[in-house]
Amino acid sequence: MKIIACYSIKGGVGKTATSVNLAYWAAQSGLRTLLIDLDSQGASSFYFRVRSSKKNWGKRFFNTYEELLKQIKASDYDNLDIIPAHESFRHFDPLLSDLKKRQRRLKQVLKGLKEEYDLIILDCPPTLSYLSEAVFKASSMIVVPVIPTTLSERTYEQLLDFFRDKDLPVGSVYPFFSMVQRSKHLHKNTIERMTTRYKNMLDSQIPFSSDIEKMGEHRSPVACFAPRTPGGKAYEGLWDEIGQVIDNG
Amino acid sequence: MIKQSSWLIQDADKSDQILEQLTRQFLLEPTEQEHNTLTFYDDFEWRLWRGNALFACDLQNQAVLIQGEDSAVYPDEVTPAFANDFNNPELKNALYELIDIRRLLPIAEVETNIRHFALRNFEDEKKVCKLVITRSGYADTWQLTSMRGYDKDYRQALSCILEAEPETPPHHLYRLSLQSLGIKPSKYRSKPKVKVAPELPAAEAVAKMAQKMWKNVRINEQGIIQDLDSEFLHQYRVALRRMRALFAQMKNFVGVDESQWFKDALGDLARSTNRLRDLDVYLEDRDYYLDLLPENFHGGLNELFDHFAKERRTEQRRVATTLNSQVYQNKVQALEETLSGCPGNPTEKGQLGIQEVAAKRILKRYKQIAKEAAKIHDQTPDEEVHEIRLDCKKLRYLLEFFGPLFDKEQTKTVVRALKRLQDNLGRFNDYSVQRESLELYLESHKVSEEIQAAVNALAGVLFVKQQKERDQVCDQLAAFLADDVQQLVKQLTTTTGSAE
Repeated sequence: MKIIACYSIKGGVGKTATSVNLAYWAAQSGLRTLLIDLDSQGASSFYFRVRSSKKNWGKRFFNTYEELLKQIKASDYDNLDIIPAHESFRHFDPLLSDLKKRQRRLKQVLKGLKEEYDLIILDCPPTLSYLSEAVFKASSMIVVPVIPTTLSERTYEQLLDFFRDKDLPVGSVYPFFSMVQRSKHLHKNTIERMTTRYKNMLDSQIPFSSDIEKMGEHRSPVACFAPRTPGGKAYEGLWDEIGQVIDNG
Repeated sequence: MIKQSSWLIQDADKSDQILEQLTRQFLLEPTEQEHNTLTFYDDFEWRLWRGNALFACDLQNQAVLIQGEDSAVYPDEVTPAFANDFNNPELKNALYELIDIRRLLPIAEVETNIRHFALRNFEDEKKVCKLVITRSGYADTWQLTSMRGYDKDYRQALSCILEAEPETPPHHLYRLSLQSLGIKPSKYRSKPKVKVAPELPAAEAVAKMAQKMWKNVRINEQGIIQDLDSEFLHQYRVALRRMRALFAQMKNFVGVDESQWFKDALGDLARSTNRLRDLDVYLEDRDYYLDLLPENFHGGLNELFDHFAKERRTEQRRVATTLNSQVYQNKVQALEETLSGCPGNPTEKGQLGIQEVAAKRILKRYKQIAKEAAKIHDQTPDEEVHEIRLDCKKLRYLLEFFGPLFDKEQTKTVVRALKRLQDNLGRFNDYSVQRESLELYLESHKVSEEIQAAVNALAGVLFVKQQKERDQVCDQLAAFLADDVQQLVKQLTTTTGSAE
């Protein structure tokens, strides 16, 4: 079982769209996939029309994997299940700060799911916190959407610094360009510069696309309502590339 | 964790009513619809049907194998013929288990219509259950499947459907559909059981049994002529052999001359197919022979088998021509006429009741085996072992022919004990026959050095195997003549006497 985190320090960069569409394509490729929505705002859960149980179960999240099993819901698609976000996930950080070995806690609890799933995708909240540290420890690959602007480039550099600081493996971080507008000089130049600088940069780029924005309206992955548009195709390409990285890892 | 239920709904209107009911509680979204024509296959003996299995192929070369209530689908398959031809190894093995080397023949076509639905909740339009309705000429089967985390919705849909009181299907829908089309297995059995009244005069009983066996000879002819599979010839020969054995064993009841006439006439039919059967057996065992020898002999062995395959094609054509010929038809006619008048001139003993006669014959044969077995030790010449093998065979025939006249359980136990001994003796004989016939082939054909080397190596391996079987003969004989089996044979034959 492989674990991929979809992560960004900044919000609004297309992180949830990435989690949702990657999870969809992974499942389509035949992998038994579980998407865990760790972001208490619950956007991925919303896209998959899945509601969390009313019970305030977040405080038990890191106890045992059986707690997680109870919360799993089937998506509308074969091979794809979801653990929807719960409001109580907001309190993960204070919760983790009280736990021993908090860094390893998430990894430990997810291990219990390896019989049932080939791949877990974690949709993470946009913060640097105890939770994100636990996510980085648990994941073999961290996929980071980057809008090609100077500001995003700086934020990405901050993430790498954090990894170096905490002695985490920088090599497991894979950025890719998101919400790309080729017509903008700034985007073009940033893409060229960052591509030379970061060898882990993925080739696939996700265009800025109204189809992707419409996901909220359709409440389903892009491929299900606009399969032949550039936005619809982009995620399939991104999944192919990521699938190869995890196969080789 | 995933739950599933199936029902049968015979009335299409009722099906629609339940769908209507469901729309009050769910959004019912049709997701897929397929029309299909399924061609069902089985072998000549209906081994699939009898093994509670069904096999079909659709217009897109998609194969379906149904075993009990489980069905598995295999895309991109070949046109059904033999189990070993299929692409998917799982399908290949499953079918081979069921039909062995028999050919699949089409038995019926069924039109189906499969509708897939997603049941969605109103609040999020989330899919919460899956529903598949398969319609065939016979009925609709409904299959409702739960989705993880949505058990409550499943229960809700379940109770909605159950209110209409649908039936739980006793068989798979396709089997029911085929039954409703009037499809049912043929009565054909390779070894038919003939039930005769215990007091029926022996000569008449034999005639009745022979008439039934003769049907098996005729029914296999077309399969041999069309070369559908090698079992047709095998079972044709089995039927002839059983008839000959019947007349041979009962000649003192039917009449010696008439019995001899049948033996000759039946033997005549069988003889012209001897070589074809030999070749079939070789070719079926190709892999087995290859496994017996190290790889450096495989070249020669394969060359030999290519010769056999070529010879078989010629032989098959010759046999087909023979079976189609007027000469053959005349022989058949003569046999059928004599058979319908049989017994033409029964002996006095032929008037005795068949059960009494059979009991005596069985006991006598068993005692004879016991007597001869006493003389067999580890150094006894092979010829004497062959003698005892033939006696066992005769006893086996008696038990098979007349078994239905006796207690079923007792007969079965004796046959089982006998079979163990026969398997041992049979292998002992087979190895020497195989060896001799391979050596004969070398003498009568000019073959390459590779073939010669392969045949010699094979003969060596077969000799060793034969010796191993020989070593077991004494123990096997002792087991068959042990007190418990002796008691059983006595019981079998005497309880009958008192029942009379």
